[in-house]
Amino acid sequence: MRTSLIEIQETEKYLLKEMDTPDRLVFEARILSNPLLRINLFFQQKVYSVVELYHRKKLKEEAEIIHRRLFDDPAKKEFQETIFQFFKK
Amino acid sequence: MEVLEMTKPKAKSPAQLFERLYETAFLPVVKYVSKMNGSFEDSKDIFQDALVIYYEKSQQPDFSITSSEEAYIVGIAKNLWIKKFNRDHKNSSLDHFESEIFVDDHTTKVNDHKLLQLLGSTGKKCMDLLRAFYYEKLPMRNIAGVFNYRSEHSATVQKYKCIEKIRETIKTKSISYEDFTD
Repeated sequence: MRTSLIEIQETEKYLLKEMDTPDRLVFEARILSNPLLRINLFFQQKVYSVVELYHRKKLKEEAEIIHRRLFDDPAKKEFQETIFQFFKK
Repeated sequence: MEVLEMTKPKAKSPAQLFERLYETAFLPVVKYVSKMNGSFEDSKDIFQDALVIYYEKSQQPDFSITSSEEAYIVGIAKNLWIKKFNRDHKNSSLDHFESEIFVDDHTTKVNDHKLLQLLGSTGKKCMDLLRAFYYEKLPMRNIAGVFNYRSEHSATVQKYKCIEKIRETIKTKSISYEDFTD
């Protein structure tokens, strides 16, 4: 693996707290002395946050498909009516 | 040719779980939300957020519940309702619900929605790969099969390449850090 990818791998281990103490201390010293590593670490955190949000968005899309199926299907009329009766004014 | 054995991360797919819970737990949530003068749309939003939260929690290795799944979902939905409407937390719900998934300790306050929007369809394959690994928790062996990489090693290398690609996209899209901090 090329150096930049190894650095991403190490950053990931650091962020996920998978480094043992000596490696963590060395890595933290590198963060302090290497501004680019510091910036990359900041943005790598953002990658995980955005992937988490993407995951949730996808899960909600799956829930929405089921919702539509339940409320568009004439065979589920009884279920739909049971639900809608709570919103009749 | 090697045949890859496909194993699910958990016994149930989210779709199967959501479908079952829609049949059993949507009604009690509707009863609660309507009693609180909420609309059908409110019920739907709260319930879907509750489903996602429940699914995420159920993926954690030490997850266990003492009540029924339905009661648990209703409990989450009630909490979401309170957060959303009684505590003046606009746009509350899932987006601000504290997830216990691994990045919590490391995240600063960022506008991740803005980031996701900016990324758009850039690197969809990468996003899917990273999602499969970190959140669907598929083993790398399976990911190699699903995403057509010739080996686990290739898939692992690709995972890091994807992180690099998305990281650089985020970097480029950001004019300054302030754009992404609240």
